Amino acid sequence: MMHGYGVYVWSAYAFTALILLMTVLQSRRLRQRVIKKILRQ
Amino acid sequence: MWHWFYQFASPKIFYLRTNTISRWLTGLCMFLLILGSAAGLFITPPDYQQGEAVRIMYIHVPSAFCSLAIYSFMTLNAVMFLIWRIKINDILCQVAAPIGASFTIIALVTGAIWGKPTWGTWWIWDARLTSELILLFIYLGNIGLRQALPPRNAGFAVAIFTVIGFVDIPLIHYSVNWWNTLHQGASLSAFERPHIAMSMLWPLLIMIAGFASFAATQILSRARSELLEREANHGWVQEVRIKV
Repeated sequence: MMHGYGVYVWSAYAFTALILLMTVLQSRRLRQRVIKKILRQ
Repeated sequence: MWHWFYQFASPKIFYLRTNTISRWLTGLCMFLLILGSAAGLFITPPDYQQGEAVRIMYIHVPSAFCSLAIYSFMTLNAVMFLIWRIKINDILCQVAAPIGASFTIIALVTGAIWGKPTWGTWWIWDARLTSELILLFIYLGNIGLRQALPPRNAGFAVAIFTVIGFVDIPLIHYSVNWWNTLHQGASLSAFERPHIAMSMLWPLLIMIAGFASFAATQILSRARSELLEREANHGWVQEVRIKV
């Protein structure tokens, strides 16, 4: 499938997935940092 | 209905109620993104001119939509914060900025990747592309301004900055009508029939809903964390900390 353009399509999807994953991980990291801070109090 | 809505101005009620909303949104978001990606990659037909490259549309258009929608959401919250000084509005404005910047980066990069096979170039200083790039700088300026100022003053200054930056949103939206651009005009409009085949429209709408629900889950998740951090010394945080 995707004759000739496969590399463009998959690159675009992979880049998007990477950014969305980084966004999720950053949110989780923020949450864990806050929870640790509260539990320390 | 308004009474139910007003209650969200209370940090405690916002934190407790958004827990359930977040869970539902996460499930919905995953379902829509998996379905939309599978449909966009494997089910929809190739375009008669662009061929398979058209599949980039299913991520480029939703991310561009979210970049504008999130900034509009931030502006709404900034205005509400300036008028009523509601803490939640400031928090939502703060946490939405990095999410909006991420979607703007996705829109610009996927647009460049799509541009190479269809236009023959990665980038051109076209009105639509340039105004979207300016939006990225506005997002980055917004994030930088908040970090540069002491927390006490940051909310007010960032809210003013956000409202001024909103000028770019109609510029981006109407750029394809006001100037001669290489970028095509709108295929989707709230008031007109879509200029796109139904076989391509439904996965596109699913992906737009998926990206929007992803943005909502991330904004809510970060807002809840930020709220806990800001209110760490309040009694209600000590009550809910048993659950976290």
